[in-house]
Amino acid sequence: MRRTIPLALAVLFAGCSLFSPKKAVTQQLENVAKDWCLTMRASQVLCVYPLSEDVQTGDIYLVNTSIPNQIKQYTQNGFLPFDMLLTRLQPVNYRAMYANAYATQDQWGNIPHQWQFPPNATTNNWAAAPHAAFPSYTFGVQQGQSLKLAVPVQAVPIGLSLLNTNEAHGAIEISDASTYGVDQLSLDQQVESWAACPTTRALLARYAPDGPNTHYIRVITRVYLTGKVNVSVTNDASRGGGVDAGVAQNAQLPASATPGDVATSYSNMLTTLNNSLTSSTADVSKPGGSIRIAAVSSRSVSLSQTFSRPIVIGYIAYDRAIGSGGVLGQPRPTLQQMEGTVDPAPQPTQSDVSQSVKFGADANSSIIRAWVKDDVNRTSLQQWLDAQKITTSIPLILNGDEFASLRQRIIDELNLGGPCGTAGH
Amino acid sequence: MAQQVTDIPKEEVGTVVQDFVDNGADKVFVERQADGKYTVSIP
Repeated sequence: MRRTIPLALAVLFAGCSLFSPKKAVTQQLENVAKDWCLTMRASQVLCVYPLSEDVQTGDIYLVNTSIPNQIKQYTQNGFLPFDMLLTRLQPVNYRAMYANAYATQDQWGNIPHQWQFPPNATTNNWAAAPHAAFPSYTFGVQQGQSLKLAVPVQAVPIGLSLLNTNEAHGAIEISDASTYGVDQLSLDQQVESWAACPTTRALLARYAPDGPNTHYIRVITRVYLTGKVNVSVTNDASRGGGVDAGVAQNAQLPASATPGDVATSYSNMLTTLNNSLTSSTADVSKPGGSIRIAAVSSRSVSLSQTFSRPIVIGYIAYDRAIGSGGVLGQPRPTLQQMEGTVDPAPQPTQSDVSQSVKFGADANSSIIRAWVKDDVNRTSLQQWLDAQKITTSIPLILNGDEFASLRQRIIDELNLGGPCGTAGH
Repeated sequence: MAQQVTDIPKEEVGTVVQDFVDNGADKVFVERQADGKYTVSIP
């Protein structure tokens, strides 16, 4: 009997812990975050959570967690937390990427700010950026569970408040999506130059392998943004109830339409609802954007949330392991590592410490080689490389198989012509 | 930092050596690989 009572108490305590409301709410929050991020993953994009405007191509983050632990985290939560921003590089190869299209002319050092804050304009110019599209995201809310923090867009809890329900299902459509990025080859050359700086190397050396712990840098090569989110919510509850969701709102659905013309009554009802969400205008200015009710009935409501400037919802990146002395290993794509389709980013090898390239000269090598026979031209090329923050020596560029793209850039940007030159085409 | 170019065909070795010399290298090493190709390096 003495042994039975403590055992019974232990079982009771464990049961209370497992089925506590706090745990259920936490689980619901995690599930909603994961569902949102699954939409990104289905589009081969890593999820940004919470949403943020301040994530850019060229951002380099420190990753303190081992790849196996990150995979576990990614599988459980659907997203990877950003640890620490080490630096923000401004990619130099946008010119080759966009060739003056998408309002990038003469803005190579300013992207994406020429879309965010165009000069002499009162609104942003993200409509000019490359467009993207995403599938819609569905969600469900069960009674007794909260969405206060987990839903990335505020239109959802407001819709739930309007319906006065906490049992509902709905859909989120990511609208006005755009994207921009840069090729890994040119960006990684910039990363190499940055990592070779003495101050950077000293910083990275602090994160050299410590026993089994490996640290990484994560380099963002592309980001996806949205300027508008459309939300529809349908009431699943047989009767209304209190809801603890998002910013408290006073709006309530009118009991019935006013007599008279149906279209006019409906329009009046929408205006009433929008006005009830704000005292002076039909838009609701909330942190993160303005919300407008597009359609409403007794059991459903559709809202659109427009962000004052688009925010980043997803990204593509690659990782490099930090080795002894702050030397970086070979890059591996982050998403493929998380999906288990490539091995974790390896530690640097001897060939990473000493610069080694495989022979792969081509027609451009001969053109550049003949051109730099003149010392004046060699100096010009070296100055161009310095301006691009490329530290690789000219002999390696001439002969390395991996520098074929760089040789083509040299041919094109220095107008050297030859059979592969594109200048004047 | 040491630099090297590996897997060079025999007929291209002279050109690669000349590239390093033209770029100011004082010493250039040539090594024959097991597969018959060559590695050119500078310390």
